[in-house]
Amino acid sequence: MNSVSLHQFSTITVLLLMLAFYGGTYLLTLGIRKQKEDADAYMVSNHRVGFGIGAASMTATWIWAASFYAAATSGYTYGVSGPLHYGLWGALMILFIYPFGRRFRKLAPNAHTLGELIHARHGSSSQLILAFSNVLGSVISLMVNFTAAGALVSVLSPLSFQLGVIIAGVGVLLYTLWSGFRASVMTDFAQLVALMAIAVVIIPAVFFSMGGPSELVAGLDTLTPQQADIFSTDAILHQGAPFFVAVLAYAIGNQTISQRLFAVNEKHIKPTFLTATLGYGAIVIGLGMIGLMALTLGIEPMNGDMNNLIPQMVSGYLPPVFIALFFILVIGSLSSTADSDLSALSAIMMADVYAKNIAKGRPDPQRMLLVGRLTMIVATAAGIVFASFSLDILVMLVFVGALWGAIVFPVIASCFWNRVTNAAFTTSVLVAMVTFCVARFELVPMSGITALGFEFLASIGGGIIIALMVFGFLGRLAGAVAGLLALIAMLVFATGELRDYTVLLASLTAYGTSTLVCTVMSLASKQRFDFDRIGERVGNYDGPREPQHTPDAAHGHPGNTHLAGQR
Amino acid sequence: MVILATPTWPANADSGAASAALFLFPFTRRDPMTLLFGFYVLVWPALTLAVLVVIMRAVLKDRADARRTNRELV
Repeated sequence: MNSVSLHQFSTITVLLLMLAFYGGTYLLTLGIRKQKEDADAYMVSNHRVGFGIGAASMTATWIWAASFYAAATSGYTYGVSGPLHYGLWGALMILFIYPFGRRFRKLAPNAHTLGELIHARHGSSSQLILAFSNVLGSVISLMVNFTAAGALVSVLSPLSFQLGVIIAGVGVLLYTLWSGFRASVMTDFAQLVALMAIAVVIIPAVFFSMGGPSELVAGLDTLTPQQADIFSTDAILHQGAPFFVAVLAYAIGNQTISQRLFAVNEKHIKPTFLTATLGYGAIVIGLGMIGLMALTLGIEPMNGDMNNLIPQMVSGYLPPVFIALFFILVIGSLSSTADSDLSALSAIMMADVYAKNIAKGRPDPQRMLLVGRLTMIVATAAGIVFASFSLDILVMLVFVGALWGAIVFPVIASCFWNRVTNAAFTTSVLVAMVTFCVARFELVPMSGITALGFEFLASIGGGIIIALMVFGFLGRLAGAVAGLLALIAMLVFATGELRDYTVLLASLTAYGTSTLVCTVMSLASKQRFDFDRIGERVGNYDGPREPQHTPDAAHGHPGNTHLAGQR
Repeated sequence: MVILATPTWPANADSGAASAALFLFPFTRRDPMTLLFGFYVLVWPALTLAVLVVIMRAVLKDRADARRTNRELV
């Protein structure tokens, strides 16, 4: 069996499935809807979202449609270890941000975006760099998710790609528009429950229908030695390593994560992020196993498109009701991410752009809500248009990745080191972008002393990634030792080699340059920042609400700060 | 869209149920590699189920707390 077809639903069936999904989700939001929403709740709920809803929302947001397809592709391409090298690193992105997230939350308990914290620390230029990178990331994510909806609808039904894109875009907008983040987290929970329940059923169902473990083991003989090896170097170098480099960058550069960080109950940040890490890893690696099953069975992806692998396996081995469940699984995953992107974009435009830079600290909460809702409408329209025209976003993706890598050290250092200045932040990011472009597009010949210089910067980048990861969990000394060892290892083993891996060299160069420039400029500065001022500068936008019975409220925690009372 | 073939569920269903029964039947002698790969594939949906239970329980508790303190869940 090496060519499996795709089941075809009728137009009516697909329309009914989408109507049931988006209609049900919309009805769910009616239960939390208020006639008059307030701006703070529209961005981060009440800052006290519970562990269950928080973990569900974090997991659902981080799982997008591409997660399944890419994990299955990884399993199909790299064999036994492939799904691990996709899902594990994606899961670690959630895990590694939480120690830093606790610091962000401690500095600015009432923030809505990470940009607000950076604005309070440095001012507009640094904040807008961060906000710009967040906006680009969320728009790309929206477009990719709408594209996935269009592709799924077009391969499983007679409906067109464009119609699938439009239905998904309008469906997500409808249930998110009025209540913003509150609607997003509430529906994330329901979507995740459906998503997990379906994954729990579909993975074993496909596995046993294809013949179970004995069939899988029999198929291992047809794999290459690398594909059959759990410690495959091919999988590590081509799939794992690039993801590892991006672990911190994706988490820092993504407002959907910081928004949940500022929304969950401060006491529950750790269990929330740990549970989301486990949940993401289990679902994505599990669905990636379907790619491994396809590989051992010798199945060829239809039309050479790897994205058809899971639908082919489900169509080939399970009855139509499972294909309908799979359809809901994908629509649920892409919708939960898309609604989070809409909420993230609206929060950035409300807080970072309107409140901080247009209203100059005297924002009107009702006008903020209007800005948020208009942002959602414009972003959805942009996402639909970009997805419908199937625009090539590779260049945009390359720049966003570099920007996220370049801001990692300046953002984290700004929250721990009182000598980092606005000029150090801004200059380091801009210089890092320039060196990234030189390396990525090989604007100068990568040979001789030039190549050595870039490899040195990249080695610093590799060292700082390890240093920050270890620092997050084990503290300064352990971080410094680990970073130094990684730097030495990079200098010994990567010098002379890294120039042949352009993408990796450029990414690491962005990290290394921003670290070097930011550190040198900060050491040269005489500024000593008082971190307590961040909590005083970042507060709520709406007037005081009913008192909440928390220990923080009783002891005058900065979490009760209201901007109206300060400015 | 070209439909290459129509899937035949009943035949696959039989083989799927048989293969599941064979794997799960504890007294059947199994090759260690088969058991290992069975575990490797099935541990992920099992872990997913465990996380789902944890999240559901936590949400029910959050809901009860919210009702008790007369505040909203989100």
